Formats: sequence, structure tokens, C-alpha cells
Amino acid sequence: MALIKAENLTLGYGQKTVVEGLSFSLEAGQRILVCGENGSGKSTLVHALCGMHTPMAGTVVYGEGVKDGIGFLPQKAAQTLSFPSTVYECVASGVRRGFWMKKADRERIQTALEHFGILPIAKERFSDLSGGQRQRVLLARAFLCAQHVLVLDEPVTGLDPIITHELYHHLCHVSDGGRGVLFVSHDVSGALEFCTHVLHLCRGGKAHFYTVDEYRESAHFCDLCQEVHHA
Amino acid sequence: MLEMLVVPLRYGFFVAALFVGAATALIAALLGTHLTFKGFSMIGDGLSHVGFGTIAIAVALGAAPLQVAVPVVVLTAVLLLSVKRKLTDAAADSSVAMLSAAGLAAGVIAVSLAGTNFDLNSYLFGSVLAVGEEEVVPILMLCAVIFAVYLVCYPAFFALTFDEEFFEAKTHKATLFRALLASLAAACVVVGMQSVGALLISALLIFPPSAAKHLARSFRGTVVLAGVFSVLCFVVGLFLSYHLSLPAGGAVVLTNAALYLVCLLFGKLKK
Repeated sequence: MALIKAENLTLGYGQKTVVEGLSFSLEAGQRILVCGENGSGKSTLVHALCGMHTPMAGTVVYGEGVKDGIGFLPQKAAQTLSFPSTVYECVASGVRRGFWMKKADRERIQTALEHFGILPIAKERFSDLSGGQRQRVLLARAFLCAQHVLVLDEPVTGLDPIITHELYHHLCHVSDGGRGVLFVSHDVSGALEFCTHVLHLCRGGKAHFYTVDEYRESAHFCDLCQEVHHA
Repeated sequence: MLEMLVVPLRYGFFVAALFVGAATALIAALLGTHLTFKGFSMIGDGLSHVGFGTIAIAVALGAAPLQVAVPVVVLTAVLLLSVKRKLTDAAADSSVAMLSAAGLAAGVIAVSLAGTNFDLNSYLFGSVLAVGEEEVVPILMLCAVIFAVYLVCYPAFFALTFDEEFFEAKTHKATLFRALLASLAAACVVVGMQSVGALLISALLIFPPSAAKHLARSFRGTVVLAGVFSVLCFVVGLFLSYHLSLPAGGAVVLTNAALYLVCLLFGKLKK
């Protein structure tokens, strides 16, 4: 069942096109890695799929109730360092609907805090945390409100290898529960073990959708391996 | 000492000022917490100048000042916050500054046209002790409505303030709540102009949350403490103005400034 379906999607800013004629669908249980060089339109695609960027052409079609059940992790945390909120408040903003919270919501928040190992720092100020800790807090918030789809824009930035590995396991857990996961990452070799499909974006607008096995055999992956080797 | 507190309360105008000012100070602090931490601190200044200009024009045309000012300032606030979203921070700062100057200039010209019918000082520096009995109930009701809307929308306002991109992805209602926050702030600014005046209203939005953040650990704690500080400073400032024969608006703002310095020092010592 398609949770999100992109049909002939063209994205850009003003006169500049960054993604052209892209068609693919994210289905329940899939984990799609979006990769490509800087400026190839990865974040723009993520914004379009979350309904925050209007396509120049084509459409994004959502399954029933999916549009309001997307858990999203932005590429850059927008908050200023002087913002006085606790870790708990930040995570709770993923589910909170009223001034007073329901018991079920409190339990879900507690579970998310435990899941990401941030329960001991729940009362700390978000601004006092390290970059990696902040990323885990924002991930917990995204996981909490991902009823159907989880969209993560560079989720492993700033995370150590162990936490990165744990995160990929979390993604598997989420998709095994019937949700779809789409994430942007430059850590292609690490992420390939855990994703089911790869969406490779090229500068100039072209996009290629592969299964993981197809991607490992593709010219794009060979080029990437060579670039990493030379670097 | 007790007499110093009781004597002013014998006067109806003082009690009216106490209620109106405290209610205004409370909602200004609550909304100001969101505006300050979202980087919209100066919007109160810009809106109050637009409010001043609108009131002056309304008086010059013989219309009811507040009935004209509230919708105009609300509309300006919504437009201003929408513009800020699309422009860079520098351009948005410039737009607030330009709006502020244009509003004041329009007011000055309208005042000269209105002649002696317009009490310039009361709108520029506030005249909370001159609030008429017939104005008390409408102002308190407006403050109560703003307070109720704020409580209902608190989670959305928090999420919007903390991370607008996430909030938009989750709800697709960031523009709506941004406009709502702007509208409430604009209404608060117009009402607050009566208490401390157009030139000082932004102090009620900025000082209490800036002081509270040095003591509170959470955002909710900051909001609650900012509300308490704001009401406390208003009450203390009003009593000081009575006993020392000072302008009420100036006394309230300086009390806020003094409390901010105390909290700043306390915060530094705590670290």
C-alpha cells in the first residue's frame, strides 16, 4: 500500500529546477535511503513530501490519514541556543495537544525517552546538551509522532557510530511495524545495510530509484565507492 | 507600611488601573515569551508605533480610536510576521524599523491635523491611571479572551516557537498559528498602550521573559515566571508611581528593568 506517492514530480526554486520528473512510492515496511551530492535536491524533496514545498509540476499523493501522521526530523535544528526548554518539553511537542497531557501521551513520551537513552537527561535544558544528544532528542520527537511515515533529513549527523547503528535498528523496528521510512544520508555505506530501497538524486535534476541490490550493482554506487577511495 | 499599600486602594481610579494594568502585563508577558524566543522582540515596538499612528488618524477623522486601531494593528502584525518568514532576518528587522518610523510619522502628522483634541502624551507614555470606569470591563474581557486562547493554543505556540519547520510538517498549520500569535500580540499591544504607552509597551513583552529565563529551567516555567514577574513589576511600579509622584508607565518599565538586572546577576552567580 502506497503511503506516499510522487508522480512526475519536478521541484525547484524560481527558475532553477533541482529535481525533474521524479516518480516513486513509499510503501508500508519500506526504508528508502535518499542520497546524492550536495545541491542535488535531497532536502527539497523531503520538504515536498512533507507538504512544505510546492512542486513546480507533478503531485504528491498521500494514503488515507498519512499527511497528518508524518514524523519529521529537520536537517538543522531551528532553535536558538538561548531557548529555555527541557528535553522532556521538546519530545512532548511531538504529541502534545492540550495544556494538560493525557496519561497515554505521557506514557508514550516516557517510552520514547527510554528508547533513545535520554530519560536521565529529560529535565536538562535542550540548549545545554551536546550536538549528538540534541539530535537524539529530536529523533525521539520525530519517532513519537510518526504514525504512518518517518521522514529524516540527515539523522546521523553528529551521532557516534554506536548511536548511529542503534538508530538504523530503530528505523527497521519502525518499518517492521507497518510504517514507511524515508531518510537522507551521506553515510551511504553504513545505511545500505538497513534500507530496502535507494533514491539517488543527481545534480541537474535526474533521479534514480533502486532496490538495495540493484543499487550495489549500479554505476552510481561504483562512482561513489571510487570517490570515497580517492578521498 | 500597610497604610502605604491601603491608601491608594481607596481611590477607584487606582484600583481600575491596578486591574487593567495587571491583566495587560500578564498577557504581554505570556505572548512576549514566544515573541522574544522566536526572535520577534522588536515587533511590539513596531506595532505600538503603528497603533499610535492609527489612533492619531482615527482621532483626526473623528472615529473611535481603539475600534480602528485594533483591526489595523492586527492586520499589520499578520502581514509583518508573514513577511519575516519570506525575507532574511536583516530585511525583516529593516521592515519592522521602517514600519515603526512610518507609524510614528503618520501619528505626528495626524496629531498636528487633530490639533488640541489629541492627548499626545497619554498615548506615547501611557495613562493607566486615567482609564475610565467604562473601559475597565471591556479591557479585562479582552485580556480574558486572549488568556483563554493562549491556554488552549499553548502546545501549538510552544511547538511553533521551538521548531517551526517540525510544526509545519506535523500539522500544516504553522501559518495559521503564526497569524493567531501575531493577532493576539497586536491586540495586547493596543491594550498595553493605555498602560505604559506606545514608546514603552515593548518593555512589557521583552523584560519579563528575559528575566525569567535566568531562573526557570523549562519553557513552561519561563512562561509562568514571566507572568508572575510582569504582574508583580506592574503592581510595584504603580505603587511607586503613586507614592513618588512618578509617571506610571516609566515606573513600571524601570521596575521591570531592575528585576531583569537582579535575575541576570542571580543567573550568572548560579552558573
